[in-house]
Amino acid sequence: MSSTVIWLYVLATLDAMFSGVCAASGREARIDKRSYYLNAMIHGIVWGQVACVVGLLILAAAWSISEDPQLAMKQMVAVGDRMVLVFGVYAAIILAFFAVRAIPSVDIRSMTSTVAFGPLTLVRPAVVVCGIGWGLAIGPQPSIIGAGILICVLMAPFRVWLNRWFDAKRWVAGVVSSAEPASRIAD
Amino acid sequence: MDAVVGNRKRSRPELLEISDLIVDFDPVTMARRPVVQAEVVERFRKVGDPRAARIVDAMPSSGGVLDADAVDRLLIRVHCEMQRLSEEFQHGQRVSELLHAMLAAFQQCGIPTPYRIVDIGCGTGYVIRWLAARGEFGPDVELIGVDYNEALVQEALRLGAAERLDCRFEVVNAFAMDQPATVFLSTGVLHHFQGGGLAEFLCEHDQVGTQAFAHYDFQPSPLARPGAWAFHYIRMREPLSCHDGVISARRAHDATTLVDAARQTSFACGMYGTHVWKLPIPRVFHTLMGMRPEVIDAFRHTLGRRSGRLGQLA
Repeated sequence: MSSTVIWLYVLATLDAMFSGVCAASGREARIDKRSYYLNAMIHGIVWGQVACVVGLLILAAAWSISEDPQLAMKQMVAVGDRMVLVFGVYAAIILAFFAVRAIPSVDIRSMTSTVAFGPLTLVRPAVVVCGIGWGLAIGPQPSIIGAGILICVLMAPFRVWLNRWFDAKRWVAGVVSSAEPASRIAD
Repeated sequence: MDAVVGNRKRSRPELLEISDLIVDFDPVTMARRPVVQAEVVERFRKVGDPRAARIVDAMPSSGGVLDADAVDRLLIRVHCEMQRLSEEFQHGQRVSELLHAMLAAFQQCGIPTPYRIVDIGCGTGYVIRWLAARGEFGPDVELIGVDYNEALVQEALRLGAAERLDCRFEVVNAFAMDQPATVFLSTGVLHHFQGGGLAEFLCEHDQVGTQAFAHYDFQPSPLARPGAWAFHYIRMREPLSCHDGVISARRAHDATTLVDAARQTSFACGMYGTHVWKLPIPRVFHTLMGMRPEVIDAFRHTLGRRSGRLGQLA
């Protein structure tokens, strides 16, 4: 059980970190943005921890209202194992493209954006839905299905919420463009 | 332009970018002119672009005139989003590699310094600022960005000052500067010139002291339109960015049109970097290049392994 929880936590934190970068992109026009993106990652991770805590509370509630808590725990772990498989493959693909991006070629680096990171960003909400759906396909108790759906509603639009928060906060490491940005879509 | 579809003759809609119509300048004094919101909305409706009409209709206005400050803020946000795409496409590095080869060729040919690099329609100055920050050019290279839009130039100046970059930005006609440019650059500008305007624009490059130009713009291809839509949808937040990004890709000139127009100048002209390596994969941007004939051989040499990207210059 513990490995499932740890894997899900690591994957959720990675996703939150990259979500922070995506939500911060296109808001800061300086050339050197290392500290900016570091800040964005930290913001993403912090909000990811909030999402993890909310997810845990949802699972705890599902467990507590279950008629058979022992069976519920087993089913949660089984669902989690299947989710780890889907999200793990998605994360591995992204990390593999980061490895490709390390090659110092402008063509290769720009192709990773057009061929990989752009489309992978687009499909992220679908991956969240598919991962949770694949987990729930084992047919667990209704309380676990409900918890899975709630967590899906929490995580699928995570980047949209992060975008809204960045809009509202007008944060940005010390330098803010003279024109405040406004978010539109999941990014 | 008309296209015959079966027995029907269908008129191809005029493609207009919102950012071209929501600002207006006096070309002589560079003074901002008021833009009547209803006229712009009506123009988009007439060309069958209700989405653009809705976007303009939702913009703040006062007495029927678009709020110039709000428009400026919007355009700065849009340029910030566009910079993100440039960063993802490694555009600064691309321009830097080409410029280093050009300047090395100029030195080999004994063309005296300083070399003045002028980015036309620089917006918030991403390319020039990138070159100043990372281009590793010597003190004999001046980096200058010019644009008609004062708000964008002010933002470029602010950003340049924030990072203490050795470059400058001016609200000026690029072809009427006190000192002529050694190299003219632009990114995403050429498609704004349609019809005879393209050749007129390029002919203005024919100045004493100007050795070359390199204009980057979208390359038309079957993938350009869906690609532009998908990429702008994923990456952009402002509806104007999404709209104009896709229209830009649709309005882009093919290589033949560009080269035909450019060959009306006294430069030897051709395309650079149309395909990825030697594969039949078109690059998102292709580059219209013009160069003084006496520099071409040296340039091919200084390009090194990238010389295969350079088409015939004639």
